[in-house]
Amino acid sequence: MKTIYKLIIAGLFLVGMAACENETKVCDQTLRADAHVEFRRDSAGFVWDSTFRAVTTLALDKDTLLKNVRTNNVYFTLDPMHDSSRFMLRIDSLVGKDTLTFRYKRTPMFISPGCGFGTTFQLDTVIATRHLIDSVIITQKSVVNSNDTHVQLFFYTE
Amino acid sequence: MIRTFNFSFILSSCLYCGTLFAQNKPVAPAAKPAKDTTRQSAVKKITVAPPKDSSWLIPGGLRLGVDLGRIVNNIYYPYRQEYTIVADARINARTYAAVEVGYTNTPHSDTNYTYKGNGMFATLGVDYNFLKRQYVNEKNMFYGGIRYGISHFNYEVPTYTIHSPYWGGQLSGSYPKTNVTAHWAELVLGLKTEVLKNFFLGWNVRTRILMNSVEKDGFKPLTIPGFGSGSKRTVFDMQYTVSYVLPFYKVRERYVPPKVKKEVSTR
Repeated sequence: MKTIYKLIIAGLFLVGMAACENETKVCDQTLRADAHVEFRRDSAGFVWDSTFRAVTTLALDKDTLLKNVRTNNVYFTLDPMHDSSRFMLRIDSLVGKDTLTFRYKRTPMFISPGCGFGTTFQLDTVIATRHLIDSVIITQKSVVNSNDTHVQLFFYTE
Repeated sequence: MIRTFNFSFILSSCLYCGTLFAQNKPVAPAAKPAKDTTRQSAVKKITVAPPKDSSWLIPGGLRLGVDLGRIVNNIYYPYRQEYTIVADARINARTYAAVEVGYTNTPHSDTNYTYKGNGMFATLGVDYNFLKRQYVNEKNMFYGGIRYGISHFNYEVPTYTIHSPYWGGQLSGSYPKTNVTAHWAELVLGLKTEVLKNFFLGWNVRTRILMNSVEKDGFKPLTIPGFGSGSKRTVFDMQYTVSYVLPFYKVRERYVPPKVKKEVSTR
């Protein structure tokens, strides 16, 4: 009989161990689906990364996303409630600013039991004013994570 | 364990004694002795008479039980309300046909979404008892088994909310009711012990391998009834069962003569 009790206790212990993970409590894979934009310059077919010393970005009528940061790429948080988002981009406090308009389709996506739902985007067009920006290229239309580069902005060469 | 130890001890003792006897070489007689009619030959040919009735009846029956492990599970996973009935029936001395049926309800609600799901499941397979019986009527089991599992269920998200801290708003939506069928294979290893007459306690560990995809429109269910997590292809689980045997039939077991090892002749 002692053997039986040992087996029962061992069984209960293992049940306890097996039941330790509640997937709805832990959000371990947050969805970051921001549009990743890189800066480029093109001189007679020769393309290179362009780093600016004081980049500021913000959505129109919203808080700043980035303020006077030296960088060669930025992330834009797209609006999950509308099919377009407009952002201001200034690469230097001494020069003018440009406006970028992203137009896209939105798709809700189940991330995980702990994180719930998020939104992924499919870029249609990206329109930019031409103060300092020469051209825009969409390199990746599907915005499902921020690891890829989605848009390249080409600036005028000085 | 104690029984296994005893068995191992006895077996090893026999082997040891056998080895000792094998090493004692017979001494050659100095001269041919005269025929002694008063003594009988020391080596007598032993013959085992086959039993007259070469088969007998052992207890069979239908064992019905419930999985109490689901109650523990429900404490840790409030969104998994699962009820499982287990049953097995003896086919022969060592093999049992095993069936499990159950129902799962999956209610969940938090600030991000509400989820509803429910469905039935069933598994069908066989168990093989590895335990050597100590007496004819022994019903304790240490067994391994294999199962095929099927589950038909539905799930939906009546409301979800996507929060956007930067844009200062939230988006609401819903995901329609979807019907899915899942198939899986299952390996089981466990124990069943007769604690009272025909009343058993047991537990087992099992691994399940999902054989088809249950994802619809990029949305996996929270749980698959009978299987477990909807986001995993392989899961481990445990059962803790109480069961009762309805002994309404018996199984005939036939006598199998023990295999005699051939003696190796040495010169």
